[in-house]
Amino acid sequence: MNRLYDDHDIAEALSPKSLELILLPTEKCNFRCTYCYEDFVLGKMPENVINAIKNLIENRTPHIDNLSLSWFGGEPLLAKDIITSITDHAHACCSRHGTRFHTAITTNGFLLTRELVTQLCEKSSLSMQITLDGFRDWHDKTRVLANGRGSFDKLWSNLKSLKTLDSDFSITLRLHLHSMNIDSMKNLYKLIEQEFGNDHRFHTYFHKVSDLGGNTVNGATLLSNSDYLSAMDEIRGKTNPNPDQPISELHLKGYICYAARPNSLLIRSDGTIGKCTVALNSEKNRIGKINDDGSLVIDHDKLHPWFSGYSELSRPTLSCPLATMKSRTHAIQDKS
Amino acid sequence: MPFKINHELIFIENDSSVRIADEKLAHSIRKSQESSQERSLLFSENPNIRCNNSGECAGEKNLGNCINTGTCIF
Repeated sequence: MNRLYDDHDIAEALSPKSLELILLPTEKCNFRCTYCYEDFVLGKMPENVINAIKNLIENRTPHIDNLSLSWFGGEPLLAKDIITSITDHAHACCSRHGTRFHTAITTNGFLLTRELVTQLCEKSSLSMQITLDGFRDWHDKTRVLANGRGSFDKLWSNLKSLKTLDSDFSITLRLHLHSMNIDSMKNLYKLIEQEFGNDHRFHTYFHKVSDLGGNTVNGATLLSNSDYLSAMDEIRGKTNPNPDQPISELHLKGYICYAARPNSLLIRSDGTIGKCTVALNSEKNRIGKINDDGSLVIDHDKLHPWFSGYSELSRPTLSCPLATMKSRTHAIQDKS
Repeated sequence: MPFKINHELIFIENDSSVRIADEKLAHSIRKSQESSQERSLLFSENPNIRCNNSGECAGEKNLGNCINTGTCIF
């Protein structure tokens, strides 16, 4: 197990020369996915937090080689103005200091426009991740707009529209799989191959639906790892994926979750600093805050458990520190 | 053998930089980072300079070579 990591993997995760900021410009969402774990309580990032992030970027870019801004939410595109404002600032700082600048967006894709993609591509290298839960029949059942309507047709039309752009970007279509949507996913996969198969900017990546908390996931529909692997083969119509192109989370080697990477920080819309984008309301995930001048206040007693995987080089802990923290808590509760 | 690090020696400073509170270990990690960096510097890519529609770097005097990520290497 330990040999899955080499010293470069570890050194990269600890490198003070790279900084990833996972930013939540709003925690509101225009979707109500039936399995979502978020509560949408916090709204748009206020001006003082936006400026604090700009100050942090300004202060760090002279000292780093790589800056990555990863936009998450809620639905981040409900706050496009914040994304473009911080991106413009980061681009100016990175250009001044020769720092590589990458932008990533995890979005439901409903509000994605050619204008925004063009604009962001001019400022940074851009990657996007968009989730599909199957072809229209399934996608519209689970990835539902807040007004109750389906979202597939609009998303598909947005994707086709991006295909006609000249800009270079990367879109990962994340395909959520469970025991009920395998046939629907097969239809969708065919359509993706037809529409985007010859465009190197579009990729697919499977992800198994799993129980991340809350009461919204039906355990009976979750796939075992072996059933999941068989389902992917069935959908793709082939086996033996190219090892250089992992097709799902089961195919990743040397993966260290951003939550376990010391050079990656989550900044919520209220300026709270965390590590994990799933356990948003866990006290363990409130590790600090950002001050107006861009400096950070970190509670290291809360931070250290997120890094426990480095002590034993444990794959489960480095690839998902949250899962290990949860199981340790349960073990302590069971003993008492 | 990959580095094993007591996780309580890993700190995030108030400027967001990472600090390892073990000088010997921090030195070894730095060495490894530098060797990774040297490998990547064989081709120095600048994602801030994009390629234009003619396949040339869009920066001053079109210096550099376009690569298939749409950015330029020097």
